[in-house]
Amino acid sequence: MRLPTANPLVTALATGQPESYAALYDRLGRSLLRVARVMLQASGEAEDAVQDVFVDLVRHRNRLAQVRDLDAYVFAMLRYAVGRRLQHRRLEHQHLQRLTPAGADKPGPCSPDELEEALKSLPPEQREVIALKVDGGLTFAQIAEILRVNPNTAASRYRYALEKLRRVLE
Amino acid sequence: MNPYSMPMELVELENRLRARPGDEPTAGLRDRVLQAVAESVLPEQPSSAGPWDGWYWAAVAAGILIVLNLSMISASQDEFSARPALSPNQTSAELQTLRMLEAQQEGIFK
Repeated sequence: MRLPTANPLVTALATGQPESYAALYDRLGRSLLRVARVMLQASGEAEDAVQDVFVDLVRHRNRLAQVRDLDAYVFAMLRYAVGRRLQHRRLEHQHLQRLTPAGADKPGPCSPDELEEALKSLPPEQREVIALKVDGGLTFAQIAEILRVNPNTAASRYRYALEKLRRVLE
Repeated sequence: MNPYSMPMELVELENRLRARPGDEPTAGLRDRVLQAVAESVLPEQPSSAGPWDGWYWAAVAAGILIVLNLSMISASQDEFSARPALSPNQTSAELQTLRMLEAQQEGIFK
């Protein structure tokens, strides 16, 4: 059982004080956006996902009383928001494939950044762990909480993802 | 193998990842997010079922039950047999009247 948090920011968020949401945005907004961009590979959609997180947070603020690690909780919400968007995108893609004649798909413009391209080539779960660690600045304990795995597993997954990325870059 | 320790080349790669330029959020994102938050913080809606609403409907239900019960008791105690029975003379007079009416009816419809 989790004990209620004594974090004053969490308390303010739980009572729906708008300035607390502004403070949270100023603290985590940029990291959330970076992680969302890596996971979604689309800037506009990443911004929408960050907005989803804040709206979900305020709508379900009664749950905040049980939160022990606010950052991990917020990134876990981002993960759900991104997941919903990816699911929607998959469905939309399936629908478009039915409408678009075969071969009409054109590859998108290539990013000049070799590292970004290599990152894009990783499987989503490996991209996710790198984004959470590097762009989100989270600890392995926090990543483990978000992914619902053991911290050692989170660390191993991260290391494996980095190794794969290095091989792609070679 | 300790999953937390990494060889030098992976540490360097990690540093390169950290140093890569991140796109800035669009200018209006902060305002947009906080506006969406403000719209979602709805004032606490007074519950449509107030603390007395449950008691009110319970009292109404109890009242209906009491009225039904009383009416059933009253009905069960009504003495339908209290009406005096007809005497044999009265019975035959009633029978005669009925036969007369029947004969009249037959006459009309013939």
